[in-house]
Amino acid sequence: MGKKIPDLFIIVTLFFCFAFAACSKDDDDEELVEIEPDEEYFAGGKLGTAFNTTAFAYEQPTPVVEQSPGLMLQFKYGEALFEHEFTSNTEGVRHGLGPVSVRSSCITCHPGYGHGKRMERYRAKDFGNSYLLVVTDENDNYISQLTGMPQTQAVAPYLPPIDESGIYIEWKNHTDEYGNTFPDGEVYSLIYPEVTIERSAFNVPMPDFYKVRLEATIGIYGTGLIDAIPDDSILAQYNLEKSKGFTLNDVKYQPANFIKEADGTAHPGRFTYGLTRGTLQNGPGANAIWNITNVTRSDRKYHYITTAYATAMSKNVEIQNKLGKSEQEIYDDLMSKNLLAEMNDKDYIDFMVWHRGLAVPAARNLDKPDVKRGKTIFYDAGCTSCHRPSWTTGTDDYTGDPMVKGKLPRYPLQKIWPYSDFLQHRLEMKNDIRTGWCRTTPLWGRGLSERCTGASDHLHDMRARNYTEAILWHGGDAKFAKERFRSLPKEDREALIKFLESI
Amino acid sequence: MRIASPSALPTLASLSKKFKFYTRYEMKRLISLSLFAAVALPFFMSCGEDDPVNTEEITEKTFAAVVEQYVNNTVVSTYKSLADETIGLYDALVELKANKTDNKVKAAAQKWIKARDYWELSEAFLFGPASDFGIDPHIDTWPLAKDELVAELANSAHISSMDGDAGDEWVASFLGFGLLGFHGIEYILFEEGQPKAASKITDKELTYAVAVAGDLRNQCFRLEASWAGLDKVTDEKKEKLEALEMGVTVNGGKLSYGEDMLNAGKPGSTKTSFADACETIIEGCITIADEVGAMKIGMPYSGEDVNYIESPYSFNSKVDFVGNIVSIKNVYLGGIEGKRGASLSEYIKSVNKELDTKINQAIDNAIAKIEAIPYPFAKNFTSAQAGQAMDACNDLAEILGEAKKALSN
Repeated sequence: MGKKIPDLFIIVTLFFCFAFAACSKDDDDEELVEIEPDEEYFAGGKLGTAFNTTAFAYEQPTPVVEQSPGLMLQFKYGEALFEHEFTSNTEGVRHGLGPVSVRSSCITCHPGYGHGKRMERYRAKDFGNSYLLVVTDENDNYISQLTGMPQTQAVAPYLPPIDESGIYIEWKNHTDEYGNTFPDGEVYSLIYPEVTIERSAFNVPMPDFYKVRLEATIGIYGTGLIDAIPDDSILAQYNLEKSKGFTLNDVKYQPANFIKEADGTAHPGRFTYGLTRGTLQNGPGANAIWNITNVTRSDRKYHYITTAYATAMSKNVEIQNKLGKSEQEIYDDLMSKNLLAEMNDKDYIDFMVWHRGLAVPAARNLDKPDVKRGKTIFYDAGCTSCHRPSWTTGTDDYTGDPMVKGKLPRYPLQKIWPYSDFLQHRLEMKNDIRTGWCRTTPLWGRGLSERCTGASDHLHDMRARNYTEAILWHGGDAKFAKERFRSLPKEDREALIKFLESI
Repeated sequence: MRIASPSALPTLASLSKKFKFYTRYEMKRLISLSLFAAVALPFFMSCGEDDPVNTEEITEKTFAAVVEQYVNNTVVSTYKSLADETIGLYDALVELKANKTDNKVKAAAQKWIKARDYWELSEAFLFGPASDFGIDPHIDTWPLAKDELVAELANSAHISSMDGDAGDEWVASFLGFGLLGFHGIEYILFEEGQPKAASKITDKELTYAVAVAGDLRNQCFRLEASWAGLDKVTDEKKEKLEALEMGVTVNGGKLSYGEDMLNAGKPGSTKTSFADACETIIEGCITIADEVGAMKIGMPYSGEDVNYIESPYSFNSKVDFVGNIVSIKNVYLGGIEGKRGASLSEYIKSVNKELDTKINQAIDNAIAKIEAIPYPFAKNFTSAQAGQAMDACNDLAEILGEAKKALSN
């Protein structure tokens, strides 16, 4: 554009320079008066929010990390462990994958650092497939012959516990009690997955009855902020909702059932759909970097496998021949509790700096009229009963793992806006999540999903293709809020979605 | 893929108009903008305290031209060349497999270097399909999963599958990223920076290389079509993508990634404005500058991980690094060499001439410092020159952060 500018340009330019001279007499004063946004824009608080709305919005370090060159470098090194492939090599960068694995890299399940994508099939190598297989008995207990997160990948000559060519996902249409029609006549569609695994696909003995569900990964940004919420605040939220008559999963809040950590502390669950993790330091990511890949480390010097699997593999004559080992030797190798650490402590700590250092994207457009309208509806409809808007972090003397104590970024006394109560509720969906209890998913940042990940699917198995479908799948304790949403005029429904896209 | 955020404070484009404020600084910017887009400013006569709309309109027009140049003459142009070169690489490997001679190894190695060059020239735009479809890890994962490769080459059933007509599809479905893409082929063709003697390459290795090259080509077809649109690529590419049922649109919708950017601000686009699109564009640059400095050079240089060396068999690391910085240069200057046009540089120059000069100097400095590293990088990664190159790339990432601020202020 600048290469063929005629003389006219210079003339016009000079004209404008003169025309503006009077307006810019204080040329030396270039101070930019910055107006700080309202607190609600700081979804992760002042210390945990990144103002970035691009395709990279989920990948940003928090200001705490940015302000420390040391943490920043660790963040980058840890990020590389998240983004890149582990191999079955026995030395070198990111080695140690297997003998069996759920995936070979974190980012396969968290494309763009998001939730993953709805898939038509289950293949571990399909990028964006964030599904974990949930294989249970008639009482919703995990099948003991398989790990809770069953593997479909193996390093030869081992066989995977499940051969994924025998896994089938069928998406079925669902008609709800309203005939998939809003009161104003607008029609919608709902789909849900029916998952089956052929009996012959299992390389471990299976009981007569088993059923299969899918669970997609949960967002990872901002989990450091969630970790910084005091246990007492979570327990207070439980008591508050209990006092209001909500049906809650009480067993989770009996101190005897708190999650016990390596440092001797115990905590109520706050992470995962099943509330199975009480701290980030022993949370889904801290465990996934080990049990998804089966890359051992100094505090996990054993494989994530079952005795049933080790038995099956060790008895396999072909495997014995290929490895040149006896049944007992193979069994002992697989079940050893004293394997060499494949990931060193420094790498693991870098990984955790990265994990705890991921910022929450700032909220957007909250002052726009339609977003404001949507916010009012969100509150009035009762959505905030479970999608609690804000929390205040504690002193953030984080616990859980002595190895990382004192080495990770902290977020004390921050007002944050995750839009979750971090409790479980029952939404009573067709082909529901295991046990029916599902932690309220934080809504922060989800409106950026399409631009960050190329997809915008929702709910635990990605059955909802947009916000509207996600709301319409709400039943059980959240049915009242859904019904209020259904009764809204179309423009108000759209305003509510605008608000959700903005937080 | 981390982006160094230039400030903890919000960018204006990131927030609502509520925070659009006009200070004397802003007034200066308006004047500068007039230098850049004077002909479009016939109404720009007041002191401007009440002219935010005009400013935004003008800036949007400016950015629209930048985005158009970026999509059509930087991204699509680069990906088209990449896709075309991967056809050449595949064909050269097929020829080599049919007639294994030293000259044909050299010819294939040259094709690899050429295709590789275009890939590195694309790394300033690794968002979009390269990320959403996982094409970046699919074709550019390293290190090579050597132990798995040994096992695969010893598996006659797998070699037979790779040798079939659909060998490209088979490897995509059954091999991990550690065995796919450039570095698997590199391992077969190169040793110690030179093409191997033909006698050192086995038939099974060539079967593997041909299948992986076919998959590499398919992935690059997808990159080109995802930005250009399926109807804008050759019939050969289109037919392949359709046969493989590879989606090429944003979130399975109607818009290609190029259209998504070119329709910024319109319904259906994920980009709220051309300014918004330009922020993503510049962040793509910051990301790769940071990656080259802190990781590709920095990891081995600092001793953090001496195995973290890209293209170790061909000794192509320096070319890779330079390609990455030229990729930034192409984005910043608009188009590619010989096809320049509207650019971020021109805009930055119009609002902050000194910053534009600094950015251009930082780009040139990074290239010069990388080129000064003694060859090969794989054996000189601890050299003082490597440290200087790392610093130069880090400096470039930092100054590009200033550019991002200038875009959004």
